[in-house]
Amino acid sequence: MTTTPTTPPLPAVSPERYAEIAAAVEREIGRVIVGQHALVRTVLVCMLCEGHVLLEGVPGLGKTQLLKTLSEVVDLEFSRVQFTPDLMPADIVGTQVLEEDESGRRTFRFGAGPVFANLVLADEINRATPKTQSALLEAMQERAVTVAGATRPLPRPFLVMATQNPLEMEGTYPLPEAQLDRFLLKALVPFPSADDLVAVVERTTSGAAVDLDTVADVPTITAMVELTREVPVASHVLRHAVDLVVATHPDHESAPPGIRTYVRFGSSPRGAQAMVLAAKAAALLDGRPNVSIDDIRAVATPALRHRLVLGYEASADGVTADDLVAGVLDQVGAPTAGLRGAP
Amino acid sequence: MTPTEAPAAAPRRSAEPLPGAGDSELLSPEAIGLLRGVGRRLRLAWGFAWVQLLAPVVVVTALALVIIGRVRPWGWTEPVAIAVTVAGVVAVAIGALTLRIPLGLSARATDRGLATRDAFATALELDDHDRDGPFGSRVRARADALAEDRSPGEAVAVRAAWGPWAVAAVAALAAVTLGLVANPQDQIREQQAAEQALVAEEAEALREAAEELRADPAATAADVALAERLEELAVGLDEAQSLDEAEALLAEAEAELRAAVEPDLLAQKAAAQGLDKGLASAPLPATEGGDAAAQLEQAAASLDQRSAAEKEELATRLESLAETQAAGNPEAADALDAAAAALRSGDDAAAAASMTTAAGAQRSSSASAAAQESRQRASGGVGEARQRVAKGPGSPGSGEGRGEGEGEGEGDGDGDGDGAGSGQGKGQGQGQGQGEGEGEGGGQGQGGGAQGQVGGANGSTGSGQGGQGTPDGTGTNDAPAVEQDPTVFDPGVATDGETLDAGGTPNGGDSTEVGKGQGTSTAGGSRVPVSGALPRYEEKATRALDQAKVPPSVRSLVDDYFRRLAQR
Repeated sequence: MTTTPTTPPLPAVSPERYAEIAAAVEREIGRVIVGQHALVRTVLVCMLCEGHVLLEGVPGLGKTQLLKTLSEVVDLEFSRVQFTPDLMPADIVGTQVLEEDESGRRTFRFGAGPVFANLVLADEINRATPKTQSALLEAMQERAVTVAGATRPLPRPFLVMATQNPLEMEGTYPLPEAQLDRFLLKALVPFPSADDLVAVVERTTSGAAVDLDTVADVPTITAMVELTREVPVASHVLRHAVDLVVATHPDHESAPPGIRTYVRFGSSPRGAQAMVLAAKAAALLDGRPNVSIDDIRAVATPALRHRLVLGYEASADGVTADDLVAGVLDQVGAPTAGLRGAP
Repeated sequence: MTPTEAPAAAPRRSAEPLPGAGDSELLSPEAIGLLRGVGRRLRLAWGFAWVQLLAPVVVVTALALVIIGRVRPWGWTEPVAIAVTVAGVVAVAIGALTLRIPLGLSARATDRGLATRDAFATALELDDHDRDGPFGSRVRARADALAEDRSPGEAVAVRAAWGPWAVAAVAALAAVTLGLVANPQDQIREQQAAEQALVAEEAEALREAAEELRADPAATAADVALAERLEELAVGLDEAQSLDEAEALLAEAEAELRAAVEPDLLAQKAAAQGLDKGLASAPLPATEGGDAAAQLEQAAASLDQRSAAEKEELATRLESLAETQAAGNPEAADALDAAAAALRSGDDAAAAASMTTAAGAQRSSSASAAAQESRQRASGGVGEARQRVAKGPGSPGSGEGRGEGEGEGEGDGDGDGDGAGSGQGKGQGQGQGQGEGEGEGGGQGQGGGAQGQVGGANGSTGSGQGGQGTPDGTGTNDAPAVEQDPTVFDPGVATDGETLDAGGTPNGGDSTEVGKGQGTSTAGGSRVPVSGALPRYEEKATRALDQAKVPPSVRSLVDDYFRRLAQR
């Protein structure tokens, strides 16, 4: 049984208004999160693309706080799931609950899980077992869950924002490649600078509470997501995204030596889709009505780093996915006009 | 290289071709003007980039050709060097003029050059959905705004890389300098051209000789074959790649023609012509004249009308004639002897048959001698051509020589006292001179010695020998050294010799006269190659033998002399 919710008409959002709202969101988040502008921009891009984001970093860097703040600023329905080794799939998607009414009649009622929200924070997702992690697969790809034979659509927009600790830490389960591929972007949360850390300490140890303003509601965000997809892209820009993805495959002629040596499997086509979609949002956030080559190259690393399946040689040599993506960017290079003497 | 070098497989959002002028309505005239200006600028930049890339290669190639032209005597190197340079410039110019630069390409170049983040390319590629959507007008407006106050030169800068130009400039300077400085190979090239001209001249001479042979109404099949051989030789000379090759062809042809000449040609010719001339001056009895064969046939046909005395006289005459034919035409001599014997034995029929046989042998010998003489002349001509080719067209050397000749003459006289006899005196003088060259290449000077002559008086036979001169000479010769054939003094070109007269006593029996001559040589030119002079010597000697009543012993001596020379 499939339930189709009624879709209310969306408000008209112009590109200029789009940029204003996005700037307001960033500004409000900045009131809570010190620094981390690139990380905030990456999360915002994912939200405007309705794409899932995976944040990776050591504990205490504000990953969870960032996502909680975002949910407050945009007034999305927010739920948080703290992934632990004993977390079960039903704890995420929900389950059938046997209820008895006043007349003594017993019926099953679906108890929706925390995945039924606009913004799902999957905190420390790599602490759950693969079985539980996989419970999110259908939700992330189909934006629906199937429980007891009934497929239930998730509210739109639907975004999974997951955090994870680095894989080498104890008690973690690496995410399967299929699930990693569902994340639009993967952002690495850097350790803040000393100045930023001073500000963080000041804010978190004082009694002052930040009263955040809500700058967008669900319809507005939905309209912005749809507008993102309307941004025009020139053919050679699309081609460049594809060239980058193709170059991540070790058996392709354009692959750089690092890819041939350390990569077992290159990016899936979702990598190119992710780059183009994220570049569209980035262009709009930048106030431009079209995607440029630079937009593609700017989002290449967060879009491709989690889509490369590295061999053990990479770990042995200390080569990271970011290093390899940088090699791809160097190898492919920004496309020229294609004429000798031309820029 | 493709004209546009654009990625051929670039995916497009629609199946449309690259944007062209038809999409210009998407943008403002100012933006379109900018893009078209960028297109022209791209054409210039493309040509400049290629010139910059090719200039060092072309100029260094031209320099290499010029250098090769200075170490090898090849005449094509400098023209090819110029041709390579011109071809490179023309190719780039044609490429730039025919280069197709669509507006989309200009837009991409503009985006990169002005860092407009693909505004122009996107504006040109807007499809219907984009144009009607929220971004169509904004993309166009952004492109138009970015085009304001921008010039094509800002978008496409033509920058020179000094490295390639420096290499090209240095190489070009070196090539021009080497081209202006005197090339030592020029003299060799001129020499080669002169050699080719010389070979061509000899080939033309051979063709003319062949044409003369063909044009002769009396030409025989042998003459035609000889003409074909000469023409074949001329073709071979035309195709000869070097002077040595031409000389080898001429030497081969000369040897071939000489081999076709029998060693006793002189004797054959002397016998045949002597018989003709002998019978012309003293015809056989009761004949109407004509050549020897005709007279023999007439005599054979009229034997039955002869008296015994006449037959005896005829037999005696035939025996005398047989004696003259013994060396050069044995078949005729045998037939004449047989005819004489048959006449004496009274067998007129056998005598007539033998005389007819003798007539046939005479004709055959004359024809054979004529054919061989043609070959001999051709051989001589080819030999002279070979000598000229072997000597080459080098600049003539100058020589100076002085020579002194000293000759001795000896004469024998024999007369019958009544003054009715005939005699002949013959003398020969030789002079030789040699000079020593000074300067590069060595030199040679030649001087002719005195020519001695021995005049034979009536009834006497004289012989004389000229003296030899030993000249001192100095000379210079800049011509390349060429191996010379043995030379011989040629009295036909020697001058200033003193006449040696060693005359015998006109009558009164045997006499001996010894003469001495002394002459001065003529500087240069009196000595000629043996192979060139031999045929002419032989021809003149044969003519001399034919024109006088020379005893067979002397004829044999002369024949043997030239045969031995020819064998050398």
